[in-house]
Amino acid sequence: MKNTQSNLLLALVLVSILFSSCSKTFFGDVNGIESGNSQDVAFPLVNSRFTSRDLLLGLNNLTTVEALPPDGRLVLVFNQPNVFSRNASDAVNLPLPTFNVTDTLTNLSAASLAITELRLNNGQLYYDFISPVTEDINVQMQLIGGTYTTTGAPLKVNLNFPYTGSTHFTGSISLANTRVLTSGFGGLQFRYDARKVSDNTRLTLSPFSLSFQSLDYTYAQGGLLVFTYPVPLDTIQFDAFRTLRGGELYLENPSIELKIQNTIGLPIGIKLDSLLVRDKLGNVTLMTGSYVNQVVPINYPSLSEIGVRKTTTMVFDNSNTNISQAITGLPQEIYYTGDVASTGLGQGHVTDSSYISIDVAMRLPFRCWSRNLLIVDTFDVDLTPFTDYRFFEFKTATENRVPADVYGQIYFTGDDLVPFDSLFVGDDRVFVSPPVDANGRASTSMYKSISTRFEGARKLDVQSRTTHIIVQGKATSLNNGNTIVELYDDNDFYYRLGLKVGL
Amino acid sequence: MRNLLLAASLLLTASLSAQNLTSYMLNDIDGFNTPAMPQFLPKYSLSVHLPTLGMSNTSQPLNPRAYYAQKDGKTVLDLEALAGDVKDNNFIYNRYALSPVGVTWRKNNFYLSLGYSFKEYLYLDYNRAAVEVPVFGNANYVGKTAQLRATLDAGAYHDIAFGLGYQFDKWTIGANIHYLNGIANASTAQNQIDLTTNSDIYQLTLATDLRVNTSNLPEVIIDSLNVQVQDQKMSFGLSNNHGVALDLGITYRMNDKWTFYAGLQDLGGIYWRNNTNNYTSKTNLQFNGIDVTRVIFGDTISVQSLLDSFALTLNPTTTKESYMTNLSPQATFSANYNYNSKWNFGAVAAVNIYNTRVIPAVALGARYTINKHFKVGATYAYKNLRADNLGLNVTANFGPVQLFALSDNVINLFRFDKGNMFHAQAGANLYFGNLNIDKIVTGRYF
Repeated sequence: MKNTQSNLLLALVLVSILFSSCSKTFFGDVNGIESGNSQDVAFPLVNSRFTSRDLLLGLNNLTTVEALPPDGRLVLVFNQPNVFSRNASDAVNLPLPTFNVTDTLTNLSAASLAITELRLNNGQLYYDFISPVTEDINVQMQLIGGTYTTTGAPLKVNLNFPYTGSTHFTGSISLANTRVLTSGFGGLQFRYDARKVSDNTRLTLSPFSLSFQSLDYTYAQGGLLVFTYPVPLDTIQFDAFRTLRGGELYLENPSIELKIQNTIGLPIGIKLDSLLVRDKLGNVTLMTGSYVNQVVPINYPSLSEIGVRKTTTMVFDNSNTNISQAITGLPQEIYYTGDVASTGLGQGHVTDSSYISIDVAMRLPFRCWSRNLLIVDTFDVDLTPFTDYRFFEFKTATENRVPADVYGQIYFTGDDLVPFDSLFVGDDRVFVSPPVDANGRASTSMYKSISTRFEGARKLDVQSRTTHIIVQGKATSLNNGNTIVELYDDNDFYYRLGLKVGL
Repeated sequence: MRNLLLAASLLLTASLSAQNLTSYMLNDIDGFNTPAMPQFLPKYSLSVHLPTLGMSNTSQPLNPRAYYAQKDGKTVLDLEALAGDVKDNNFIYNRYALSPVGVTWRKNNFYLSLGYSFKEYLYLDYNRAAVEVPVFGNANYVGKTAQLRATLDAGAYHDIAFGLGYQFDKWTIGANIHYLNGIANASTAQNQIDLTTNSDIYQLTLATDLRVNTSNLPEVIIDSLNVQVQDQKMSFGLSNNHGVALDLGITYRMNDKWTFYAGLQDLGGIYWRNNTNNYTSKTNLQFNGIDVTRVIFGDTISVQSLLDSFALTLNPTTTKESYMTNLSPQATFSANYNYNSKWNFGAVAAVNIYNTRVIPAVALGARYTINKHFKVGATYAYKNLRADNLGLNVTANFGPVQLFALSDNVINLFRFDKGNMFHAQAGANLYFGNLNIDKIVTGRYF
């Protein structure tokens, strides 16, 4: 029995060893997983849709794009508001005459004050006279002829002038919150009553003069001073094509619009002495035609339109200037000089909030042709993440509904920015222009895809030497710029980029 | 994490004993003579089954061992080589069973049995894309939809089997009723991952309909791109994961020479409700690339925020619902021919059903009695689409002690890296009370 038990135990041990051995050998001791190096992964990088509106807006953040009804033709509008402005306090001065008081009642209007109504916040009426006696006197001074104070009472003051060794007295009467209204009251008169303090004997003061000083008005009406304000040489930085490095762009009907807004109730005119356009290359074109070197009257509010803003618009377009010629070279700046001046006798009205301002708007309807509009930009890049990849392959796919061919290229450079390789062979046409209809409108969308693979020595070269890439695009409208095309709101294009890498 | 790795390692490397085809031809091992296999009637009034170990590995096209490689002195699994040989549909089925004790009692034509087994299993079905895309990437699927499919059912359970059988005339019928108690499980209920790579610029569309159930495994918390595994001690004790299974068998002894058998095994399943986690991801994601217009025209794009939102969308939702898994049933048909006192011959046809996959097998065998102590046999089988399956078996009897070992793929013992199927069993029995069954019944059968 003992032998049997021993044999049984031995058999069990042998079987266990056999199975553990089999199991271990069959399934083995796996220390890890080797995934190899042949994993090729493809994934998208960029997928963007640009509309023509996006494109034009991207040219300059001060630009707006209007889609004209009914079909959405695009107009690039560059607004530069307030290139010139003057407030009434700067623009219009009141006459400040000096009056000789010849009698105890003197008519001032008859002298030289042509203002018919004056509402003052503040101001002073200065007096200067000689007393005929060497003793203390009392003088009552009064403006007669209209409603003078906020209470409706005439402006009247009683003053005491003690004798201190001199008979020459000067001073001023405050005109704060005073309203001077001469029309309908027979004009403005000044009356005084001077008496000795000792016995109340009435006196005549001579010489006696008056003058209005430091007038701060809220409203003035009547004969105001004629003025002329020169518009100094100034520059409007349009730079509507700031991202473009060059090329030609012909726009069929561009225009520059000056919008003059005026609330000064006087006849005013504007005269532009010169108007020059400087393009990307520094060429300067003198704009000629209507409005240049001519006084153009500006609309102004009448007495029944006090505070109303009147607008005068001056449009420079192909009908009156050589603007198309000036715009073709991608305008960057507009220089101008001139004058803004009152005309006539200066009769009118002005308030303390009256102003005159000039806004400039350049409107560029994109019915056009273009040739070699060049965009170049440089980016810092780090291609070291590609070091461990066996290869990388970019695939570019575009869909274009904008009637222009775009030849693109990406150059690989080092710090010296000298290209040593490029993404495409030659300048490849990345975007293909679709055909256009009779109106110059793109009728279809064109698809193009380009794949470029980097591997082996070329890949090593690019990944190790590249520190910058230069992105360049040249846009030429359909048929090498020989066909007029038009941009519409629904013109768009897709740019997509995918990457395939060997891990 | 360590527990999870241990659990995963256990589940992925262990195998479970499939019903060895050879076992249907061994009539003298009472350890196989369960009531559900009544073609082998116990020849002793009492049989005590000592520890028996069984293992089975079936894979298609080849077992992972074929792709082991040496790197820096270590053995690694060369996924690239494996993926290079992957077929449209592939599978790995491993089963492992340890039966430490059992007993069979026979009285006249009636017999009972009781036994315990510890079982582990791994069923993994996967298609070509499920391997190719992770290993080779999606570049080969540009312009196509890669349908990644992997069906997993891996687990371990206790099996307490009670059987009874009865012989009348030439017929014997039997059945085993198994009480199953699940230890741990990981299985897929939904397994759809569709990755479409557009031919334009490789835009990606990922559609998932995934549901992975686990029981008694550490919970995995996925938050954005971070994965955390909760600590949990593995427990091999009894749990609330209850299940039942049924085996049925019937034998017809036509005469002294011929016996025929038909049977069904492993009809049942386990209802997992102990410490369950259900990870569900049902989404449809599209990644078409970054819209650079937002960058050009002033906005900024955070790549991290894109990744976060992508990951958030992929994040599975976790629930704690109970779920059910089924065993993999098998149907078997066999015939035995008793040529003389020395030679016996047999034939077996079997069908295994793993999830939705049906694997048929046929085998022929012969057995020779050397003396009263030793018997040896050999089988030849066609299984798993391969015909290079040569089996050997041996039994040794010394008094009440019987030792046995068998395999129907003995060739693969010596060429693991090429075989795609391996089965082996070994164990011992103690017999008491010889019923001289050869004199009772009308012959000696397999």
